[in-house]
Amino acid sequence: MATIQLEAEQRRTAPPPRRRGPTGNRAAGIFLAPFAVLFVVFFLVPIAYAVNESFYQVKRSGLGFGTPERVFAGLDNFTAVFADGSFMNGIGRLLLFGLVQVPIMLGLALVLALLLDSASARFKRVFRLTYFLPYAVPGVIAAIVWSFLYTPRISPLADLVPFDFLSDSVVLWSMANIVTWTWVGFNMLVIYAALQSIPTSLYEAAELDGAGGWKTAWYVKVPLVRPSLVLTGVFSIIGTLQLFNEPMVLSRITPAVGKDYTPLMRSLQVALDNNDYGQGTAIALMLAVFAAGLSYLFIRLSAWLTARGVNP
Amino acid sequence: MKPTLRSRTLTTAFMFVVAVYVLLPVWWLLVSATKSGGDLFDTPALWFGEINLGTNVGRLMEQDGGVYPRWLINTVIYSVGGAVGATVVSAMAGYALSKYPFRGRGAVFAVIMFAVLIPVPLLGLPLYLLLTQLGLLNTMWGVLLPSMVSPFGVYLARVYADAAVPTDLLEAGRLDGAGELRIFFTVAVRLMAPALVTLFLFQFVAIWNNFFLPMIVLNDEKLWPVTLGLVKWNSLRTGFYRDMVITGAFVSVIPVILAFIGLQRFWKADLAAGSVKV
Amino acid sequence: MGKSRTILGATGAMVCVSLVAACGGQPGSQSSAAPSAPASSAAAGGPVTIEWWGWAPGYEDAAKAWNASHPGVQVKFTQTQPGSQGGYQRMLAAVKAGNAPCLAQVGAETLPSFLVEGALEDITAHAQPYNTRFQPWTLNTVTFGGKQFGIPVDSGPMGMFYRKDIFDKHGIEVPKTWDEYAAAAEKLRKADPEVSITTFTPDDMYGFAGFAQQAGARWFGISGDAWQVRMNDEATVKVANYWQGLIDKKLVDVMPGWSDGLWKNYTDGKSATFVGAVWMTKVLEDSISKTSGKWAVAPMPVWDVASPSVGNVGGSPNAVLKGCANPKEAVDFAAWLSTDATAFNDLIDKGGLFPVTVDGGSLPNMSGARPFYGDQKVFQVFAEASKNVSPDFSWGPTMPAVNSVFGEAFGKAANGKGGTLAEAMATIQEKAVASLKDKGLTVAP
Repeated sequence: MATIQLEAEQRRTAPPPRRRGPTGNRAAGIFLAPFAVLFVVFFLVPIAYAVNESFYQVKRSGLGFGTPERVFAGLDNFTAVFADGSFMNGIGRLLLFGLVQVPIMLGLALVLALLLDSASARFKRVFRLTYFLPYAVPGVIAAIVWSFLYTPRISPLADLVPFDFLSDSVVLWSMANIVTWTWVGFNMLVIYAALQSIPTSLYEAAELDGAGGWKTAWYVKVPLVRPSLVLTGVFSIIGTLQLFNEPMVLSRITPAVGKDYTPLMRSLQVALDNNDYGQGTAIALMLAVFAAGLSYLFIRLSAWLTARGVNP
Repeated sequence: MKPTLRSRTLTTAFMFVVAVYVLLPVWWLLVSATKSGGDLFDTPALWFGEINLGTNVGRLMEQDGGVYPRWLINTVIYSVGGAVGATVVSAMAGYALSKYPFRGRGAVFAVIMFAVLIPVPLLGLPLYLLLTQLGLLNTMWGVLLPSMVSPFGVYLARVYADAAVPTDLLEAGRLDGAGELRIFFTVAVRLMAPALVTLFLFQFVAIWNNFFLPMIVLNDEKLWPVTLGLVKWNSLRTGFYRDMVITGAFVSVIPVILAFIGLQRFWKADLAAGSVKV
Repeated sequence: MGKSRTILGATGAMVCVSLVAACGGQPGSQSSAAPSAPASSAAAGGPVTIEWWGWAPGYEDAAKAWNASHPGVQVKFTQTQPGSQGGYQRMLAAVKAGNAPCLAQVGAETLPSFLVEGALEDITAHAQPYNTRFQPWTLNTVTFGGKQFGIPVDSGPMGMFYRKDIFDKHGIEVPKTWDEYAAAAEKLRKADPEVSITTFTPDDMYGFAGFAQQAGARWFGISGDAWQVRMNDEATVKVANYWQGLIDKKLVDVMPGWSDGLWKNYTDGKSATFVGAVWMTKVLEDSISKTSGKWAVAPMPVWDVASPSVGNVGGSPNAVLKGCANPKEAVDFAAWLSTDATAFNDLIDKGGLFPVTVDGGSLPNMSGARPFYGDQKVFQVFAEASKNVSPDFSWGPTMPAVNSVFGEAFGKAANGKGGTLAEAMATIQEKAVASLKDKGLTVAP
């Protein structure tokens, strides 16, 4: 899996571990136990149930007034994922979305984190809080706010731009804007906290060598926060593929976004609106496989770039 | 090296522009929270009309038998309890994954990753059945315990432990005869403090805004967090409740801001320079 | 506790005295709805407890009132998330987990989908004694294949909300038929190019269903052992083409339902009528309060003056969920809630619910004058309409699924982004049939 790669890679950059043997293993067990118990109970068990259900279908007959019958369906739910185009259409949209939105968002997050960490910025506390604020706005409210700001005739922004936020060709990027707005501060803080844990001595040395602020940032700081960048990258890719809230909000105010616009929307439409839990889960699992593959590719790519000395 | 005036000005200007972008919708929320009685649609969207914030907040506190303050208290319980738990649990797990090269470490990581790939909304049904079995349905623990699991938090703790906790220092502690737990709580936690505060903040906000988990777990309105209440009011779809939803949302963001400001001082820039230095 | 119970009991009695028609006039109503002796399924011993989930405002107080006067059957009400916001999801999960409440609020449109999930108890026998109190068309919405699965609570007969001041200003008569409505639309546009007759909301399937129902559409039915699906029948196509005509001539605005754009249009006086269900009365008061005093209500325009049938939107029956140990008591309580004069009179006030009983129109809160509508006794208009609701309309077993494809297809057509409304209905019809077949249900050709 992709993670093993991430892991192997991090081992390369981390200092060589020295503690081995039974004491270390026991200690590791103690440290992991609380998480493991909660994780197994509240994540793995429900997932196992869901995976199991994806191999079953519910059969009815006639009017359906009798008790529905649950039957083993093999891979039928999985082959049905591709029966209509909605899954692949959704994936296609998200790839386009991710190729544009993720680099913009993470690039902005990195720049903001570096600026906040640099000596050049003023009012750091205020800016830090400001950038993080959107993440603190509840989803139901973000929906109300953006619906208002995107609706023609009532939005104070609509007159300032030459396009309609909700038209077929623009709506994907209106969505990207909401996602960027919500998450840029979050990603900035992840990177910023990593910058915070770099021993200052490391870049003080660079500054003594006469490297300017930007040089220090690019050649010293960025490589050191690379694990955090990979982390935000992986989670942004997964987040993109699981895109749901923003398109759901927009689907209520424009027919340009259907209720199966993204694969996860399609999955929930099937699981909740059609009440077909097995089929809905099968879609979600195919999506998970896709996300795993893409994350793996991303990690390989970033490792390859690093190996060739390309930054970050 | 001291930054030049020009670079300081450019930097600040850039950060200001981004701040305007980020704040615009928040500003709308603030302005709208001061409006009531249909002013939303016939006053400028980004400027104040008649200021009714006091009236709105007063109504908010009394609406539906004064249930909003209760939602707010519940949210604080879930967020603080869940985030404290998640931080401790994730820090320990992340630290273990960073500092102990035990066998199967890669597999553990792979499993955690796999769990993140499954979209949470699909787990509603199994979670409901499970919580029924555990007797946690419609209880505060039913929200608190699952909130303490944060795969992202474990990742983050691991990445930070890699960066901030030098293995040499742990070895030194061991040579002094300190136990593993003691080393963790006295040495590692201190070094990871800025990162752990970040982790706490993320989880705090994530629980604060979580809708899905409490929706599955809680039936009783009196146990709801603010999000659930606001979603319900919003679905009643009348202008009156809309005023309540906007004001309620505005009020609910304030504690998050306070928490953020309270936690800021743990970041390095605000500590004596070099205190995290090894 | 004891004291408040007495007070509640006394108030109930007093209202009952003043309401001769609703109290004594219906033999076997109040008295039979209140089982004085523990019923068969209740074991000798403590009182029976009925769990009840719902989200309508006013339900909590109604449960309290019942509990005070019925010590043998105690109702434990829980205020839940509205159905579409996760409430239904939770109910179905509870049925699966075996801990479902006895009684739950389930929208009439969602009821048949609960039925094919095996989540409902057949309550035909228990409900029989109460059925004479209900308007027959409301019973139709809870009866499938001759079996009853819910007790109707409220309904949403349609009417026409209109800006009296705008009509007066331009000297336009209030339209009584759809032809007159279209003519009024043209006059209005000529008199003031800024103003349209209404804002059409194409994504609101249930609203459009009300229009179709009025014209005699029967989207779903049962024929033998198969479901009939006719979402693009002749009546529906007629209605779709009517609105398409208004859209093509630019006589109406188009906005998503419940959207900011919609409320802005009405706040600014850009649209002069809103044809909708009775519960819009309060929604308009709350949402466009700036226009208070300028509105009035008239009957919904009709297709044929000789048979002035109207449509209905909404209504949330109470259903007995699978596994309920005391279905009879649950039904007794549900029937009391819907038919008891005092109980329902309170629900009109607190929950804005509109009664489904034959004599509901005479409840005191039905004749309140409302300042928003120039002190008109608005509910009286709807009480008349309620008698003329087209009786044969019923819902199918996959409405949430159909609704999830409706908005996109209908919305695109209404916005001129693909086909006509009638063509969209043909697409929706296909998808509706597919959604039934996906469930393994038989669909009549």
